[in-house]
Formats: sequence, C-alpha cells, structure tokens
Amino acid sequence: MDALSTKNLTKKYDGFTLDNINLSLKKGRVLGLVGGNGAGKSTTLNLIMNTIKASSGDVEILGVDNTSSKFTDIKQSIGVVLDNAYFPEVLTIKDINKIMKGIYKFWNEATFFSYINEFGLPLNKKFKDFSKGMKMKLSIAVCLSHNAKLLILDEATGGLDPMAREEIIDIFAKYVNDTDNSIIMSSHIVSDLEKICDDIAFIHKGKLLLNESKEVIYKEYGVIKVLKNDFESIDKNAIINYKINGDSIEVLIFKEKLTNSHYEIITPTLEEVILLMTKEGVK
Amino acid sequence: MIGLLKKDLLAIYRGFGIFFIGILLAPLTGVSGITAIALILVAVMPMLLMELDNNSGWDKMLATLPLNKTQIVLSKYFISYVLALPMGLLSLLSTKILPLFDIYPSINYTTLIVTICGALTFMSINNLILYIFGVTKGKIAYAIFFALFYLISRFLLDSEGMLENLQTIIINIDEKLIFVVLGTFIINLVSIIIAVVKVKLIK
Repeated sequence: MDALSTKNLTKKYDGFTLDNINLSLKKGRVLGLVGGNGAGKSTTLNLIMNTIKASSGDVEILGVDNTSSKFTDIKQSIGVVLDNAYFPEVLTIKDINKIMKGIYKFWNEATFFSYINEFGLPLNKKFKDFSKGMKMKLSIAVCLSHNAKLLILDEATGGLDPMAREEIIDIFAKYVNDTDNSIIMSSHIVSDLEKICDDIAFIHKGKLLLNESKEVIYKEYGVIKVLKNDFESIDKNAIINYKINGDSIEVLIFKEKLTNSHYEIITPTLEEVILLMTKEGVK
Repeated sequence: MIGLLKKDLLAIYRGFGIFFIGILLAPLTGVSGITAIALILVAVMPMLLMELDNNSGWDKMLATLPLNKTQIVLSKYFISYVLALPMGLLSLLSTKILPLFDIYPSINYTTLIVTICGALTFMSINNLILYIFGVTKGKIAYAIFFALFYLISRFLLDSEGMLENLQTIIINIDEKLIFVVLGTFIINLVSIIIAVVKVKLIK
C-alpha cells in the first residue's frame, strides 16, 4: 500500500489550472515537491489534505480516499506543517500541548517537550512574540509528536536559518528511518530536497514536468555544453530542453538516447535539472 | 472536541485575563442586571473567538486536524454552554449565601432561567449569522440586528401601557418557564443544524 497516491488530480481556477497530477509515495520514502511561486505546490498539498475541493481526480492517503468520512480518523496519522504556523496568538507552548492532547489520540507529551527543548523554544512566551523560525519549529514539533505515519510539509524549512534547516532535515531523515513513515514536502530550497528526498516531483505552471526517483534523475539525465553550430547535430530524441548562453548552448539530455557520444556529459544537480527544464523553448 | 473547548477557554483566559474571571464571578453579586450583562458577554464570546481564529489563521490549521466540521461548529456553541452553566450555578448559590450576610439578591430563580435562556438564544442567533455571513460580514449583520432589536424594544417600551404589559408577562412567565427553556433548546438546535449544514457546504 502506498502512503499516498493521487490520480489525475485537477483543480481549475480562473487563469490557473493544476493539471492531472499523478503522484505516488511509497512507505519509508520522501517525496519532494518542487516548483516556483504559484506553480501549484501548495494547491496540490491542500487538495491532498482535502482542504480545497478538487475539480476532478482522486487522492488516497494511507489506504483511505480523502473525501470519505474515514479520512477524519486517518488525519490522526498525518502530521501537517503549513507554510506559516497558525496557532492562536495569545497561547503559549504549554497551552498548545494541552490542546493537542485533547485532539490527537496518540499525543506524546514527552516527545513534544523533548523537541521543544531541542529547538530551544520558550514554554511560557505567547505565540505572537515568537520569531518566524520559532513558529515553524513549534509547528514541526507538533507534527512529530502524535505518532504520525505521514508528514505533509508545505515549505516547512522556509523561515529557518541554514543551521536550523540542517537540524530539521536531520530530524526528518531520522523519522523516515522507520520504514512505516513517509514524507511529502514542498520547498523552494532545492538543496534541502536534494539532501533528504528519494523522489522528486517538479511542478511548473500547474503541470507535472518531472516525477522520478532521485537515483533515476542522476543516472539518466545529463547536461552537455555545445556551440550553437553543433546543436543541430545532437539527436533530437535525446534533448529534454536547452538554454542558450551567448554562443554556446546548455542542453539537458537523456544520457541513454544520446547517440553522438563525443560530448562530455555532466551529471547535473537537481537544481540544474529544474532550471533547465523551466527554460522557454522546450524542444 | 475537548481539545477545541480547551483551546477556546485558554484563548479567552489568555486574551481577557482577570476581566474573564470577573465575568465568570459576576453572578455571585446576586444583582440581576450584572448577571444579565455577564451572560450577554458570554454569549458574545463565540464571536470574539471566531475573530481571533480568523485573525491568527487557526481556521487553516483546523482543517488539517482530525476533527470533523460538526465538531468544529458545535465547539463554538458549547463554549457558551460550558461558561453559562457554572455562572447559573454561582447565581443560584448567591441567592442562598448572600442572605446569610443580610444582603438580599435582586435575582431570583425565574429571572435567572429567563436571563440564561435569553443569552443562549442571543448566542445561537449570533453564531448562525457569523456562520452564514462569515466573521467580517457577520459582525456587520450582528450590529444591524442588535440595533434593530434595540430600536424595536425602545418603541415597544415607549408605547403606552407596554411597560405594564411587560410586567404582567414577567409575572406570568413563572408558570410557563418550561416553554421558555424548550423554546431556547429548539432555537439552539435549529441554529446548530443550519450552521453545520452551511459549513459542510463550503469548501
């Protein structure tokens, strides 16, 4: 059973359509959702959590359709971190512990306070006086403290400094050491995704352009640099996309389909793949 | 839903502090006017809480928690019931304790029940307005409703003979107290049902 799967998930707005998103997240794996501002990452995560209604398509989480009445119970096993932390401003961490204890059946107070301690968050300070980073850390502590089997993270590391991000990424990595646990996370910070994700889904202008395991991307994708005059000699079937830099052209290719092997093939970083894929002038 | 009630109680306590304690203890004075005002403030609490939720974005967070929409709506009604009940008991207690100190409360059993029912009816109408129109528009609708209620009340009270009629109604209500309680229950139930249906239709 997949931890999460979406089939032909579509949401139509005036001027924007999230189009036929098909994702699959196996247990024990981390799926990174990457894309620019307004690409449709948050919309996808909201559709997955059924907080907005899909125009069409299906979502199954931990074996349950997200529109069924059973989904409320399944949410006990889902930890969510939204792009901002939305706790009532007048409350303190101690208050939030009391509230969550009344909401989650498997709320683990000891785990919660151990994360609070690890993150160095103040117990009696009101939430409104927290910095953005502290707020996000609190959200992360909450999502990790009720024995969730799936974490849905929307820009969870966004407001954090590089050291805190590293710390959080390590915590998430430990979390998926348990092969029953899975994570789907969106981020602008591709280096974070590169560190932790097993699979990458790249959404651009509402369309899913890439949905592969990181291994496959590194193994099958390559970049070659050619002069403009030589560009025509490249096998067109091998070209995914390209970027013109003055007299030279940077070409993203499928390594296996490249027949003229005299070019030096560079294994690209995830960021390079994504940047090259979004350039206008797709083959 | 326990978690939501805890959240609302903590939010009121943290937000209003000693003022909140004052409201809760007001019925101990045994003064009917003070008890009525305290109960009306309790009836307005769901509106203040909904505004706090709206401003902090808690509504977005709620959608991700393992709670259904019925529980979410019910919690905003239950918070008034949870507060009104001990206040009613304190008020009753005042009628027993204060005479021991030669202080005679102006509130009696009938006035107390009518005041609690009035506050809960007011709360249920207010909550329904907020769920139908949303917090921002709901507050405007609530202000219009309250202004109309005040103007009509003034008109009726200024009318010749109306005050006497009102006194007769209050004296006679003692025998019909069960209908007041039943009416309040029905109005609250209808309000809850409409609010739940309305919230379930929105996404």
